[in-house]
Amino acid sequence: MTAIPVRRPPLAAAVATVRAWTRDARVRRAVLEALTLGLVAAFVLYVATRAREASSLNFDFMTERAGFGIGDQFLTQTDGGSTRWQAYVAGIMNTLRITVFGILLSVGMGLSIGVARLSSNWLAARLAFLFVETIRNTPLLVFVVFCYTAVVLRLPRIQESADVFGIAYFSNRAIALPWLRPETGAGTFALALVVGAVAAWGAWKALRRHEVTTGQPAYPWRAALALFAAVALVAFVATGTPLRLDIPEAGRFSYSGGMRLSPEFVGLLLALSLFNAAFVAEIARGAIESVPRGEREAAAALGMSSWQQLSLIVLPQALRAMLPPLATQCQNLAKMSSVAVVIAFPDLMTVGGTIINNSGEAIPIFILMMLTYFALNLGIAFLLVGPHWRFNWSRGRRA
Amino acid sequence: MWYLSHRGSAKGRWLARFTRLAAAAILYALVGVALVACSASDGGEGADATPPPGTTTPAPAPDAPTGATTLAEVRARGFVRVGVNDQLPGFGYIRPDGSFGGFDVDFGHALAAAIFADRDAVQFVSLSASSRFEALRAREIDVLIRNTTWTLTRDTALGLTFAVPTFYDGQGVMVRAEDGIQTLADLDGAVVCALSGTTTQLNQEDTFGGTSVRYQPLTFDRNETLQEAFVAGRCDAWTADRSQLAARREAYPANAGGGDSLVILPDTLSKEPLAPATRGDDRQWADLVNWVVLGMIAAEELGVHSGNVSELATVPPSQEVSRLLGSTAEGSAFDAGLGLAPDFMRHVIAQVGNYGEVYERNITPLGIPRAGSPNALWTEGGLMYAPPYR
Repeated sequence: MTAIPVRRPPLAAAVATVRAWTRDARVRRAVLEALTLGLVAAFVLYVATRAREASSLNFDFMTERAGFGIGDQFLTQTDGGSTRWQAYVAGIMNTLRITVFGILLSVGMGLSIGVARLSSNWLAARLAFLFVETIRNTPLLVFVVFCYTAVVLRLPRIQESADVFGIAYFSNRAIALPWLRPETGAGTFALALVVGAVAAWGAWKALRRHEVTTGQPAYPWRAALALFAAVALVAFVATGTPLRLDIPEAGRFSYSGGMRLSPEFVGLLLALSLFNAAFVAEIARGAIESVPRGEREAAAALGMSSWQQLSLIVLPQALRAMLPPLATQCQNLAKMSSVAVVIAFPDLMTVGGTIINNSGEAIPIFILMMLTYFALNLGIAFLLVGPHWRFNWSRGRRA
Repeated sequence: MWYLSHRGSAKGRWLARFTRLAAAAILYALVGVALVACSASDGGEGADATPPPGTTTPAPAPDAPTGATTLAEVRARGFVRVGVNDQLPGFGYIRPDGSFGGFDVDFGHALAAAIFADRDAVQFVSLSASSRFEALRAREIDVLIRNTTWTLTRDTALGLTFAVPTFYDGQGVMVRAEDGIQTLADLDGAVVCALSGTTTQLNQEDTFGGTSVRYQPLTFDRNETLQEAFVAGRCDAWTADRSQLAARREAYPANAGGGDSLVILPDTLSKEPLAPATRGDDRQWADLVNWVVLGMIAAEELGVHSGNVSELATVPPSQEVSRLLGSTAEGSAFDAGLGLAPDFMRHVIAQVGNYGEVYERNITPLGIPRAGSPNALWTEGGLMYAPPYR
């Protein structure tokens, strides 16, 4: 600003001000931000109003009688007389079941395959490469239908079921395995197991500290496991053997007793875990390669065995680089589980679709399904990359 | 220009951050207002049954021009869009040459013949059982003729209007002959497979729910996967409308035993009147669809078929035939008031045939006899009955 004011006609002054504004980065940015904000708000409002016009967005219909049965259920007891909410919860439980077991299997397999790809063993490395490339270049939907129709449905019919020593059966009706059924006293026994686990953990910690401070071997793992086994055995006898071995029996249409896994569950689990294992393998390979070569050479120079180099030096560092993409892959698995609908596995997508068809309320159900997957994915992210967990883990490892 | 003095200073940075925060807050507030507005009007509607004047009813698409516009829309477009099945032999399927064929498809041709005097002025849209009603509501199709059961809630809650049933069906159960299942009671513990998005699941539960028969439901999304599972022995029974079962039995793969290895149980689980559906907001269009079907039934009753229609149109044997075919024999042609040419039924009969001809062509080859079934004419003890054409 100049010290001597220049007199200008009012219009020219206004023009000059506007021109100054258009050249001011702050004003420009503010205008752009306001425009963006306005567009986003208008879009959200538009979508919300249209949804509101097409549907009452009222969830009362979910309390009505479902009217359809669900064949394969996990920890739920829903039938045609239950409400639609209960049927939906049965769908959520199935999605949870496939997600949890799928993550465990795919991470386990993926880590081994990723390590195998970097192995100096030619056969292992080639096989791992072939597996990863085959899966990565196949669409999931095709792969799921393939695993179901070409693998699981090709198991023998129930009349000709393959049995393993008369205690487990394989057929395309179900895979029936012996199982431990809890009986009276199982609660006390479970409590005793928890106490035993805590005690074993305490013993491990104490012995480990002793080992670190004195340098004398104290075998913390062996001692902890032995303690846990002893507590479990004593508690099992003391509570009156509360677990009964339940061996399945073959019937005309299905098996009774034991743990029965439906072909749809097995097919989907197989497809999802193999498919995701390929991606986990790539994540693991990348993470391991990101650890500088010198680290491993230094470990070798200290006289560590090949396994010690991997498990004590390389993997702990690789795991930290691996966690964020691994979490994303696990979230992908949860979302991909919605392909269950093509092979008749009653997950929340399948059940939701049936409810839509019976009630005609598409929009509320789709909103509900999106919210459910959203919550599920947030849960996975929290468990896998929760800052607290990672912090503790890395500190514990360095100790 | 108050902010210029703060540029680069700590206060300026604070201001910039504050602006962003405020922007974010405004965005969330707007989203919140939108949602609250939604739930607020929600409660209002729940409280009193009739929505206050001025609010739109949920059923029709909001931008849909209300009133009788489907016919005008179809005329302007030059062809009818009909939603059909593409994988149900006999009713709606794709022929080896790529064209659509079947019982339902022929009624689509009949509509085209009635409006444009050209049975091929029609576009068929393949729809799955679960997407069909949304497609109709979204105006992707003009009429849905896809082995669809007429039920009360579809009429009311889904906002549809059904024409007269073209086929009276019922849900049946198909099993393998070698399994020795004779009645529904033998299905205790059995795996019963069905397609999702149909009334079959509900009927199944209604039938078995109160009895001691415990069955295991297994619901597929696609017919191919269901058939694959049935062939592999995953299911003991296959439940669907009897017409569909007959068609599926006919097409059952020979290497799995062929159609003769399957039995359709005599029990019927439900009434399934299959009828064309239109949107509930267009009465003129619904009347048109209804009376084309009724005209084909009336033609059969009056003995008018594709072989004799041109002859009967010039020399009508009775007043009824004259009105049906829109003949100008007595000076002025009878106007049906459907917004169509007076002789629309003549084109329908000449190009597609009467109800009996369409049945003979499509359903008889499936092995579903007509005589003695509800699909016979009322004069022969069936339910096919057309109100007077006057």
